[in-house]
Amino acid sequence: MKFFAFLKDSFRETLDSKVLYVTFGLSLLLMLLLGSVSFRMVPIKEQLDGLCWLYGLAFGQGSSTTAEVVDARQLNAPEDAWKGDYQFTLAVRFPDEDRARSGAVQAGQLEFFTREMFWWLKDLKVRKVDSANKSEVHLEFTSRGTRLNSDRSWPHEPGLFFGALPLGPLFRQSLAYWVYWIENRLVNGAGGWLVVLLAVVVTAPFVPNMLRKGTVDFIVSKPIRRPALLAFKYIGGLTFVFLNALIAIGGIWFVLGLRTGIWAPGFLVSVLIITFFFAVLYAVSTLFGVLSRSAILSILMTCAVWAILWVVGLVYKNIHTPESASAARMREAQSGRLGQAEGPQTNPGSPSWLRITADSLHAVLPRTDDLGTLTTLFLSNELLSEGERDHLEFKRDIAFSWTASIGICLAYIGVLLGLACWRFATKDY
Amino acid sequence: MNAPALETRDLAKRYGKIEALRGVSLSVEPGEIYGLLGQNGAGKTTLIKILLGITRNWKGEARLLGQPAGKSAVLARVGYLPEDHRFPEYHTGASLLQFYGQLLGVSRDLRRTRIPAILDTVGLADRMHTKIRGYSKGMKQRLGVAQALMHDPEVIFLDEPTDGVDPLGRKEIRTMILQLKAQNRTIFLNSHLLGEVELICDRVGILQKGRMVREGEVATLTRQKGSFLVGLAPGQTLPVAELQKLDYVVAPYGERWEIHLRDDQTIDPVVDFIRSQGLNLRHLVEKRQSLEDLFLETLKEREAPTQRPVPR
Repeated sequence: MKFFAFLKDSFRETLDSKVLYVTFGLSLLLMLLLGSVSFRMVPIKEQLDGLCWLYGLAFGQGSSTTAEVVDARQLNAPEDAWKGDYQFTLAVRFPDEDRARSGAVQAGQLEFFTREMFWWLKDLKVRKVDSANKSEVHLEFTSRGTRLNSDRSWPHEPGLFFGALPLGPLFRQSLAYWVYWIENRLVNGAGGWLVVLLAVVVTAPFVPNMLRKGTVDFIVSKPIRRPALLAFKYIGGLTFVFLNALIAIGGIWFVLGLRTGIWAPGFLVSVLIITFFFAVLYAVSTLFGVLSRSAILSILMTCAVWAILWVVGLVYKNIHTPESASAARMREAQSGRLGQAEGPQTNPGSPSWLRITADSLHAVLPRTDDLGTLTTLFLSNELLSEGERDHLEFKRDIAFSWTASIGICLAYIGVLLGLACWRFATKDY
Repeated sequence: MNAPALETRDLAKRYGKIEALRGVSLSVEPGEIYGLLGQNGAGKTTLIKILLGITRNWKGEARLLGQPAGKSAVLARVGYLPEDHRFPEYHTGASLLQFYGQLLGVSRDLRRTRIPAILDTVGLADRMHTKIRGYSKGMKQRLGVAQALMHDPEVIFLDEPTDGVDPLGRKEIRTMILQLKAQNRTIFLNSHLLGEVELICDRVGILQKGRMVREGEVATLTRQKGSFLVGLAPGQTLPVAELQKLDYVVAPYGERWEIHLRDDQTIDPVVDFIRSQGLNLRHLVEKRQSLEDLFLETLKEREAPTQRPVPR
């Protein structure tokens, strides 16, 4: 009964701050926005047009060199598009014939770019074909089958407000990838940070308010042990985040399921991950709340610890994660030295002191950043096809472990709350 | 004989270099109203906080309802209104009592009947669903009293219960305290309003700088031995010179006269003398000192030795 009394009290305190209404409102807005997103399967010809447009942006050298689609067709029609064999011809258009004659690099770049974007076409072969226009170089591509496993792996273009506002060629990804992106980046990443930041601000006064002179006497004179009292208050704070995350994530999961037909329940685990991430930060807030009885100081210290953990995680990840193969290839392609460089590099330039410091801090501090990486892997495994995951090189982050990350975080929560309880239990009020 | 409702023996508490309590011993019987007096910083609130387990790390012995002070089981049988309290303002009066009631282990059924009743008793029934931030200071004080009483405790600690309450409200609280006494509840009262303490307390103790410097029944402490006020019929004058010749100390006191008796004297010869003079005695009372007089006198007595130069 006492536990539920505190839970209800924390809920009342949260409602009083009005922030819960704001977060619920934001969640609802996000749900409505996502509910209005339409996903359109993009035909191969349109994808190739987009490719040429992007090629112009990336390699066009100030629009003096452009590319365009000459021809595109599915050889095994009327088979489903995602099972198709394709043949298409792309032209690289130069300002004059001389430049076209020496345009092997640009043609190579277009081939590279095509292979990168159409990584899912199997057995993609390319040959140079004659062109009537001598200032153009024509490349003919043929493929046999794809690495896709369903319609949802086929590139889709999202359009806001039921397709009224299409987002364009830059935003063409598989439907599964879009669901993954919304769940992982938009909700878990940006949304999670926003919820946790708001929660830090809203819940930071819980403990200092309870310990305020004139208020603490009422509570500590009741027949309840002080550590239990603090633990109940702590759980009350976690409930705020849990409820927010549950409503936002549950709602978005439902809306995405309705709109895309992809009902991946793993996304719901994010509710627990976000709450657990907040649990680490709230343990810091609780400790400083007990020590200082100041909400402002609690917020500042919590944000400082959060920043430190984030920086340590980021530096550690950057040091230990090799450059992606696609990034290496892009670097090579842009420098015009395709196939000549050394491939992916593991930050050889990072100094040893940085490496040692990052390793040491990562070993002893809560691995909240690792939790984010692990969640990304978890969601990608659930939503993306094997081919997409290979293409996006998710296996690069495989070194992180759930057990170690959660274990160290739990140990920290235990230590911080233990210190807070000890101080609270022995202090005179 | 019942065990004391609360008892301390050689209770001492130190905050750093400050000695808040220096060997305080007291005992309060069940059903008694005990008033603890003292200047600010005398240690009154510290004593209550020790008994309730709010303050830790003290020396000596402190027992509440027969149990060591601060025991959880005992706290459910105790009500407490702290001084300068602040309620969480996101609560309404009713929801606050619900919350505290749950912490005190009061059953849902009992809370359902008890909360409206106690709020009605303290005059907050019509504002029970208003947020506390909308309450006046007096209303918050009444709510404080309500929360201290809502679980029908055996011992009630009231630290400045009438602080901020208007005269009518003060009278109602005094009446409530006397009703609680009639129900054999023990009340431990800290108050600066000595007039109120005098009106309702059975016994008082005076704390000064952490020491119990005087303790006893109010009636006994306020009696001023050997001092009488004498009043005669209108137009008559007391022959002061004659009485002084009889070795009485007489001094005018408004329209009356104050007569101080020496240790071996009684008032009877004075009465006989007045009658023998054909005067009409209209007023004769033994003069009592107020609790405030006693309090100030006690403090003065205790301060005096410290003002003397310390012999070397």
